[in-house]
Amino acid sequence: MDKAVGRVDPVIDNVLPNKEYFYLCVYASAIAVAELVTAYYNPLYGMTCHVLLLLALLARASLSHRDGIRQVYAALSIAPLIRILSLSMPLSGIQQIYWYLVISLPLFASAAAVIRLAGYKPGDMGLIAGNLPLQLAVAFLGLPLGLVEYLILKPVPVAPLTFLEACLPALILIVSTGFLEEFVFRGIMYRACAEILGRWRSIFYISFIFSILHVTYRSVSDLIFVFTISLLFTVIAAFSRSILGISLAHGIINVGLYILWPQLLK
Amino acid sequence: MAAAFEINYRGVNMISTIIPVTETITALGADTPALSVSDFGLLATLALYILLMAKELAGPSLDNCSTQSVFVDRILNIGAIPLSILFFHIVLFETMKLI
Repeated sequence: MDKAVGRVDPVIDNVLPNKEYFYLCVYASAIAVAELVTAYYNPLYGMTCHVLLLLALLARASLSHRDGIRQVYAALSIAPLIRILSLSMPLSGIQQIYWYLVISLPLFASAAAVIRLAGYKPGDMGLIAGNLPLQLAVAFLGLPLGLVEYLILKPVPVAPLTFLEACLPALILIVSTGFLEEFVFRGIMYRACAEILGRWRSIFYISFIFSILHVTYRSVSDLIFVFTISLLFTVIAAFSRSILGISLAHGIINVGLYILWPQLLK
Repeated sequence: MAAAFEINYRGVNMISTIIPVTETITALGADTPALSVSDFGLLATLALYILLMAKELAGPSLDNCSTQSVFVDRILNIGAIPLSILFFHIVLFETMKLI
C-alpha cells in the first residue's frame, strides 16, 4: 500500500484479478437494475432487489480474504442501504425538512461500521482541511451550480424566510445531504475503490454509482447533470485529498435550490 | 416556515441519493399499485433478521474467535446497525400512532 497517501488517493497496491473487475461491474449493473426497477416498475420489487444486493455484497465482503477487496464490497453495500432506508423509513407526521436528517442517522452509523472494519483514519477519507483557500473556492462553486440546477428545475417559489428561519433547514441540508453523501461516496467508497481500481477507474466507477442512485427522480437531464457534478467532485476529492470543499459545495447547491435562489429570483 | 418548506420541496429534485418513499411513489404516479411504508418496513425487518442470524452463526464465539469471524461480524454490522435503528424507528412510530 502507498505510504505517501494522505489518503484519499492511494495507488493500486498490486494486480487485481480480472474476475474482480468483472464482479465489480456486475454489482454496479445490479445496483442500476435495482434502481430502474424501483423507478419504472414497482418500488417494492426494487426494494427486494436492493435487499438481495445488500446481502450479496456483505456475503461477498465476508468471503473475501483480501483487505482491499473486502473494503470495496463493504463500502459498496452502503449504496443499496441508502435506498432501503429511504424507502422503508416511516416519515409521515414528520416535517419534510427533517426527513433527510432522520434517514441520514442510520447511514452515518453504517459509514462508521465501514470505517471500523477498514481501519481508516480521518485523513484517509479526506476529512482534513487541506488547502483551505482552495477548499473555500470549491465550496463557492456550489452557488453557481445551485443556480444552474434552479434554472433547470424551476422549483415553486416559497413564502419569504428570514435569515434565522432559514438557518436550521440550511444546516440540515448541508449535513444530511451534502456532507453525508460526499463522506460516503467521495470519502469512504472512493478511498476503498482507489486502492484496487486506481484513480481514474474509481472516479468513473463512483460517479456511476452516485448518479445511478438518482434514477428514481425519473429525469434524464437531472441524471446527466448529477453525473457531471459527481465526476467533478470526485476529481476534486482525488486530487485535493479533502472532501471539505465538495461537501460544502454539495450542501450549498441544495440550499441554493431550495432556499436561496427561489428567494432571490422569484 | 414548515408549511412554506413543504410547498417548496414538493416535486423538486435535488442532488441527493436520499429519496424518501413518499417522493418515489409520487414520482411514479398513478401507474404504481397501492403501496404502504409497512410493506417496505417488513422487507427491511426480514433483511435485519437474516443479518442477525448470520452474525449469530458466523460471528465470533467462545469456541471460534478467529480473525475471519471477527471480520465477518464487523462486515455484517454494516447492514445490521442501520437496519436495527430503522427497526426501532418503525416500532416507535407504530407505538406513537397507537397512542
